[in-house]
Amino acid sequence: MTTGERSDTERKRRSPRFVRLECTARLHKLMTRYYAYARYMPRLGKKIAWITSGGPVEPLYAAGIIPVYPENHGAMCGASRMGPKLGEQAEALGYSRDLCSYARCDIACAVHGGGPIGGLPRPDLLVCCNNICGTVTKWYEVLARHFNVPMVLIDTPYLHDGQLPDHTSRYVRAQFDDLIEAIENVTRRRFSERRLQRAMGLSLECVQAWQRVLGYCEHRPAPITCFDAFAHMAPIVTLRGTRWAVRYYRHLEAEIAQRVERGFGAVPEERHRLLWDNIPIWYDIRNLFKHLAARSACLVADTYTNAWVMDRFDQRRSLDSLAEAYASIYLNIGTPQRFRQVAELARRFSVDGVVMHSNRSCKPYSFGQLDIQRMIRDELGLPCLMIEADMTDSRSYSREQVRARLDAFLETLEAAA
Amino acid sequence: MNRSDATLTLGVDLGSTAIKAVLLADGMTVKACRVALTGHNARQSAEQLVAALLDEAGVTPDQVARTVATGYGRLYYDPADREVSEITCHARGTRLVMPQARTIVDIGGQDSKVISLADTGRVLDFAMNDKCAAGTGRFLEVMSRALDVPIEQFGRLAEASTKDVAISTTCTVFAESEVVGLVARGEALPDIVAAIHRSIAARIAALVRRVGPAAPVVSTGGVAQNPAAIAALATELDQPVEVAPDPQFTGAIGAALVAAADHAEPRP
Amino acid sequence: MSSGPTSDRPSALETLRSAARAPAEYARSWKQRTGRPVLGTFCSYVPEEAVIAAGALPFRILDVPGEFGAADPRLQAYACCLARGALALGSSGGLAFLDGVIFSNTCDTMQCLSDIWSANVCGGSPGDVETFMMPIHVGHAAARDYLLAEIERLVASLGARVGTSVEPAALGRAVADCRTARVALARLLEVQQGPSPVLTPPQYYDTTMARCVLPPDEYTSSTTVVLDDPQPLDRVGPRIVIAGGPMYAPVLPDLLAELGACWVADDLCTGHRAAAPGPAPGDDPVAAIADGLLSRPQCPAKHRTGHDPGRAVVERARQAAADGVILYRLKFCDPHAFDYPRIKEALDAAGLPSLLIEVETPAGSVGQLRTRLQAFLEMLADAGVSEVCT
Repeated sequence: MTTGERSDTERKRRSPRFVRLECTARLHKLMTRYYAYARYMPRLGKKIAWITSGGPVEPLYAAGIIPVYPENHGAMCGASRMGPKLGEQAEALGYSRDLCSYARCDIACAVHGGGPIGGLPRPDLLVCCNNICGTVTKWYEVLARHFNVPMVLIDTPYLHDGQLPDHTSRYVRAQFDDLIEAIENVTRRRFSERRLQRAMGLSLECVQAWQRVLGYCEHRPAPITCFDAFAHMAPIVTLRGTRWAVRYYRHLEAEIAQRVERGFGAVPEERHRLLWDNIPIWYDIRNLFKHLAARSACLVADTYTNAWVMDRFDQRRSLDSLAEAYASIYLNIGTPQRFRQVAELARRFSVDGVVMHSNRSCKPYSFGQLDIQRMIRDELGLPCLMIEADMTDSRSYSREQVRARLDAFLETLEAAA
Repeated sequence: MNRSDATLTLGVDLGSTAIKAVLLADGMTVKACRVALTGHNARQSAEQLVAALLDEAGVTPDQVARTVATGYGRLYYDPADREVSEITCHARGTRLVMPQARTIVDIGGQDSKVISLADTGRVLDFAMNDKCAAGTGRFLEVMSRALDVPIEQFGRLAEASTKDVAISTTCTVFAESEVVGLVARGEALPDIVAAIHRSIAARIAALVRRVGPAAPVVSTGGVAQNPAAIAALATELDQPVEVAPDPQFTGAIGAALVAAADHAEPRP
Repeated sequence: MSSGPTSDRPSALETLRSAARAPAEYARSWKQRTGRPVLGTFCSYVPEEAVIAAGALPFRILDVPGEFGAADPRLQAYACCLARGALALGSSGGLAFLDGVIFSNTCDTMQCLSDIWSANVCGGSPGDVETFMMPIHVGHAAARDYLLAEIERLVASLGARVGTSVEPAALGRAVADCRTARVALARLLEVQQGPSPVLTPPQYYDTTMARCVLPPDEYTSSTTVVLDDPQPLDRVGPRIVIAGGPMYAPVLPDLLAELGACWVADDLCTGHRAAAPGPAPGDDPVAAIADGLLSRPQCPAKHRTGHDPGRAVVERARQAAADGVILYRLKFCDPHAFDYPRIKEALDAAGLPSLLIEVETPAGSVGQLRTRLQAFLEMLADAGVSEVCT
């Protein structure tokens, strides 16, 4: 293993291969099965609910309702490079280009039926929890009018100091009752507490497996990169609460453990370990990996995949515990708390630098980054790069500029090493 | 020669790049028209232009019954009896030369606008882009400089394109660097120019979709004189796009028409 | 607390105008006169009664610059001009006369701004910033209990901040005074949307904006003078309703006046929505505040099952016999932008012409704004003509 300076020409020749996890094939089968299930089961009377990524899905799985995630679909639109076209369709409908690109893609698909899988199956119920942002409330209002179906809103007031006051807790909890009532109306069956506890148990197992998966990146070299994590997060987002997801992550975990045993690093000759902040740039993931890997840089951790760690469930307290957990997620707490989480990740994963994606489409995630960036530099002594883009709409992306900034950033790291 | 019993009205369109003036007889016949660069003193340029126009037509200022000004600089043209928005004027002007028009797409040097008309010619709705260079003549100018190719050659070059190349960003500034990148990558010039046309067409089409488009779609303004840009727009809208004759003058013609209408029915 | 006599219409209008056009000056001079604190707010849902009962003047931060350089190191460019302008002003010391700022969870940007403000404007201590977490789910039964507790929390916190404890009697008086002020504004708006409007567009602006600046009793006395001496306008051009918000520069009303139109009604948080008097207060002032907030005309940043933003604007326009509706929003304002397509659809279906005005800053691009307004008003004028003269 050689170390030391590498010439530019050598770096250009290198261009490492992106070694897919073998589980990737299994992942595709799982997600295909999930979306097919969602498409065809309604013919047999199953109900569909569209739900926000931070929404309480356990009651839905408990009641046998199939949850579908427009945000996950948005990510698929981005990865399939359909963001610009769908964005234009949404703009033709009157939706400003400055609105969240997930929402624009989703609304365009709902109205015109496009997108990478021909659109999502019609919802019978909309479940919106604004713990991630206020955009979802407006987005789901549009969907509720378009599909003419009930919308349940769970309003989780922002926790500036990270603490959950009693009156907030009671208010959130009361709205969970509405969710249960809506579920009972849609399924015409009494809601089962027992099944909820089971779903919560499976959710917890899944979250714990996911945390272990991500935790393997504490090793040097990291066996996977964030880009793998971004791909393999689909089950924790969409199938959290089912056995499918638990089984899947067991397989993934096994394969990653093997990589660690073999000393396999996702980036050959890993020299720079980086932390990523914000939602990925879905349409440029592969190229960004290659660009960084060619310069021996590996994204070993990120705040986005680490947000799926709702592990404060207490099954015995079921709905009460759910309400508390969902009211306290990463994006619902103030900037100082977010910085502390970043600092913790930087420490755990032995990170040399941080890359922050200033994402036009996600204000709650992006506003405050400039302060966090300053804190990372001043208090952690780590270099921190900001790149501007949009998660789904490549019209707001200047690939050359981003490459140039990354190169300059990596040169700084190289010089410091 | 001037028929002394014809009612003459004058329309002056003070654009940010060019000033256009039209002398109209009896509210329907264009007697004379003239264009000049705005320069840095719009008022002076306009006055000189009008003087030259009247001179050419053999008309003295007091023979002009009424004058209406429109365009960006309309507030500064003192001799006007009234100033009217370019939306109204473009609608009236296009109507005169192409009465069948239902959607007008005016693509100027620094702004673009779309007007939707009722069967009667009344303005139903309009949309303007005057904040962003993309979708205006300025976009083509920037690209022309980046490629070091005169705009007049763009149309011919685009026709020779054989391969679809993409310009992904919508921002003019970023698109410029993308184009430079395409050249460096060795993409053929005709393909790049075709991509530029598709890009401007996409922006204009987005504006058009805000108010229509109801057929027939008619384009006016400076960029309408670029057949490749219009063809790209037609492809993007999946609809035929006609070009108004003398597309630069529709605003001034409309202003002169408004002047004629005012003269016929004085406003309170 | 009252200022000089506003016993005649011109001076009453002048009082309203100078408060509306130079709010910071008013607040500073009030502070100097009374020796009492001024607390900044961004949202009309922050209970002004609580601030007043604590002996302070609520100051709605709306007069912010259109130049954001000082904000750029802290807040990205895809935030609205109100957030960026306020942050720029705060960061450069322009709001040093404030004794604190109360942030509400109006939208994602405001929510994030409160933390950025703590870190950058108040020297990094979260305690310098008050928060008021209005429930979004205003139609939900549990929202009321939550809101009662949140209002009580705010009252206690404000009391601690100014160094006194807020007595229920003081809160009761503030509730009564604010309600009187709202009733006065509501009555004036009622006249304005009727057959004989009395305010020119700039006066409409001044009257509604002054409500965000003047203490309630001063506001009530000035507005009452105008109400008692109506003086209908001689010429009423096209009747225009302005919906959306927030509009914090008089550019648009000034242009409407210049172009001969009449602003007859609004659906703005700086106007009609905040003027809703609410139910008559009983013995419990906290309940009165809560019920007032929950019963307001719907703001796009709040949620109520079954609410149709399109129908709301159409009704407003019909009540005011509008000829046209201006839909006004700041660039990057998500709640208003999401409602827009539905509102436009409803207005089109109702045969009401509308114009979308989206501004990067309220006082910017006056020429472009003028062109659009002029074209719109010409369009409305032509609507009566069946054949265009060619």
